[in-house]
Amino acid sequence: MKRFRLFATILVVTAVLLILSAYTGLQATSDPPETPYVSLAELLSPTRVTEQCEGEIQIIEEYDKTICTVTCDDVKMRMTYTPSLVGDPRAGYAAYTDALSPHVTIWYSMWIYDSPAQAAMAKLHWENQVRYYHDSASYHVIPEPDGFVATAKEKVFGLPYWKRVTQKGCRLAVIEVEAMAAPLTLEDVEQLQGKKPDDLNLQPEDEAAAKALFEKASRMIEERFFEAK
Amino acid sequence: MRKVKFVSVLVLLALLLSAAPAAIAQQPADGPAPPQPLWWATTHPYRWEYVEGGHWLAVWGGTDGYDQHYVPGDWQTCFSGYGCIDSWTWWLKYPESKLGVPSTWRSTWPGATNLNNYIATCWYY
Repeated sequence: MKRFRLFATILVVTAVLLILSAYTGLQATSDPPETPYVSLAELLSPTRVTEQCEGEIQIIEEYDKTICTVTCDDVKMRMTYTPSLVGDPRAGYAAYTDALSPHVTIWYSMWIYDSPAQAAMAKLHWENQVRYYHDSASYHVIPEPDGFVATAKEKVFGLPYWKRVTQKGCRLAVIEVEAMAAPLTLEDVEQLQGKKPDDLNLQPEDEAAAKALFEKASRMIEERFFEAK
Repeated sequence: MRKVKFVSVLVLLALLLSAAPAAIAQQPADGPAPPQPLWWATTHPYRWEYVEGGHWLAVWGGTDGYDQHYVPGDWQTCFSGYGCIDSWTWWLKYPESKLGVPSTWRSTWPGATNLNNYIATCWYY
């Protein structure tokens, strides 16, 4: 009987320890990240935002392929990055938003690698990547001390676009901004009925404001992500 | 002593039973053939996917998507600069279907970010 009690006690203690370890594990994953990522709310007023998605990168296997992804179930959206572009990061954060007044879209991502060589390789991939919807002939790269800035024009309407990629040690950041035309209204659409596609002429609503947002995001990521360790 | 043995056997059995489903799940996928599509349906996409390179994809849960339309009027998509919706590119990634939606048109056109404004026919399991 004594042995049975001893055995039962050991079982109970083991169960309690297992529950405790599971609990502390959950606590660790729900704590805010120690890495100083920059959130969209710090860059733009929420009243300007029409759609957005942001969060820490999840590295998952999907249909036998590894992808880095951020899923935003609330807006039925997700962002994906393949290893052919981002390599093999240890962690990261990605954000996208479409904002109004003036109309601008911004994408940015911050990546942490196990070695500076891996981060440098990813930087090269980003330098060579020209967006499908941008005119490759207009893609122009300007070197910077820790990376580069690229400018381009959107293929159809010529809307301006900026990209900055910065790498310091194991960390890499990518910021992309496009100055958009003001969104069309239903009245605009009615007037286009029966016209040719070429009749639509879009101009950036405020190119200077879009460029200012690009520089603000670059500055904040520099101060927060690169300088704070 | 018998009680101790009895309890030990019970614990072992419980451990084996709890590990069995995981072991079954780890079987290689090259066993049974993938299921055949059961029916087709004309539905809306269920999410947006943004892919590096600036692609916006409207994603349907079924495979082999075709016959896509923009509910407010296909003619509106012809202002995208990439042809009308019937010529937009499908990314048929089993078991889903993803339709490329031109980025600037999507961001500028009223209603273009609304998934309920797109329909297509897909095969479902």
